[in-house]
Amino acid sequence: MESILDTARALRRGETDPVALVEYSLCELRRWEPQLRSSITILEDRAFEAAERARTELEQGLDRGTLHGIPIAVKDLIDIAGVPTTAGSKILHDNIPPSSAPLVVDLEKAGAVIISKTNTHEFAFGALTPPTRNPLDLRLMPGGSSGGSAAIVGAGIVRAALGTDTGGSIREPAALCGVVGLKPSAGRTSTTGVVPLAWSLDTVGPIAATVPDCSVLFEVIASHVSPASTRNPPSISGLSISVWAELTQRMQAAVRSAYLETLDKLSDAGANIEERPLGDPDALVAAALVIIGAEALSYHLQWYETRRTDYQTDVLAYLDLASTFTAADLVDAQRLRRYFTKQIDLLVQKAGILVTPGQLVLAPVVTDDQVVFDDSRTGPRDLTLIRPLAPFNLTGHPAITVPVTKDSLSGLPVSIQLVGARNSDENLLSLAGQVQTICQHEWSPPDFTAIP
Amino acid sequence: MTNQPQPTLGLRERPADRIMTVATLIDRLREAVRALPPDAPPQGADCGKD
Repeated sequence: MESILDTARALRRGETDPVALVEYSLCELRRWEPQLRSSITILEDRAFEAAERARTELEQGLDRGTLHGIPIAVKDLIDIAGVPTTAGSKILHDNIPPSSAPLVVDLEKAGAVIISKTNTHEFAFGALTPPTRNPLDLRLMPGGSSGGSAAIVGAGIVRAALGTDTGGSIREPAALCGVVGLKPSAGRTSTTGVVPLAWSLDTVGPIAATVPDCSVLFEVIASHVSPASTRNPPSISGLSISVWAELTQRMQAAVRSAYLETLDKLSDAGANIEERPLGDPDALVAAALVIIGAEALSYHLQWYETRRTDYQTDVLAYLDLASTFTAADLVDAQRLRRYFTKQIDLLVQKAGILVTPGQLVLAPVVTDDQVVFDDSRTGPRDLTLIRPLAPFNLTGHPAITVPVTKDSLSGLPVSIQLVGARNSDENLLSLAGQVQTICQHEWSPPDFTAIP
Repeated sequence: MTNQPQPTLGLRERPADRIMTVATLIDRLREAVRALPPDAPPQGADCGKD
């Protein structure tokens, strides 16, 4: 499947039509799904109805914009009227919302055709998304909690999908599956009609094959901000880029060398790169885990005592853990959150961005619960996966992971993360596109018949 | 009701398999907070003051 913009042009030239696009996506989904397991509910009838409607409208000259007739997927945490929102859980298996989330309403008004509701770690509460697999290598994890959305895009079944990100849940699976993931600025996208994990950190955003695909989806779901925020899209040349000194102390060698090589390329393109001490990333991860735990426990108290056996083991363990956090732990977490937020505000205030690795490791094998760094030390898998990402849920700044190269040995993708000023999401997308051009990175879907 | 112990916020034993990691993380959080200015307020401290 071509990019969304190319497909939109082909639709208007009459070279394809929305029904053919849905047929292609559903055919690919059926081919991959026995092993990939990206989706919880496949919306075949609903998708064909929407595609036929889009075909008629386009034939009659009613053009709803770039997404009109384009197949997409939506994480099964987000309400679609009349379709179960299970949140990947037993507890909500029969939860059928009467109305769609405003984001879904906006997407369907723009003519997007939703073909499936994608798998999520139960209640978005983890970094693995069982039983979904990574389309680049089915022995590997896709990441989570939006693992189904990253997998369905990474496999080339659709070009874009919606995910949610509370501690890295869009950016981490996108990075592991070799696609682009945007956590928008806090408040730019609605969370109404979305099962909460932690209200003060939850964000809905796009996962897409490329930066332009990501931009198309974002444009439809985001609230508009003052034009001043997006005037004069910045250039990498002359841009001030800060890198977080303490974050890169523990990485895998392959990721480190690709990351440093990328920074060299950005420097050659005219960026001014400066390493800055921004504090202990694990303290910020702890702050995020305390806030997520406290807010999630508050939401889950409605089932926590009476339906304990209906939770997956790891989710129940996290809720049990959250019940041990003290009031002072929560206040400490909120104090560190505010202090770090002001630090990042100052850093990116004057047309600068922060760059970090998108991940510190390559995609782990599904059964590994530890990751091995280049000094042979090991670290807990989930904490390692969220370490570069969760701090920016605390601050609310927009953050995007973009693949920039592939590890020469394994062929697995390596991504970097760009963090920008609040409400400058459009500028960040523009810079992310420039980064991919500078790194000469182009996305292509994996060959199904050659996947390990 | 189940036979599971009832939760009491802040007073329950931490699950054994995660206690080391979490205890270490909470220590790191406390250490980072000790390094802040002593009057650094939490997120949300301004709420309702405008």
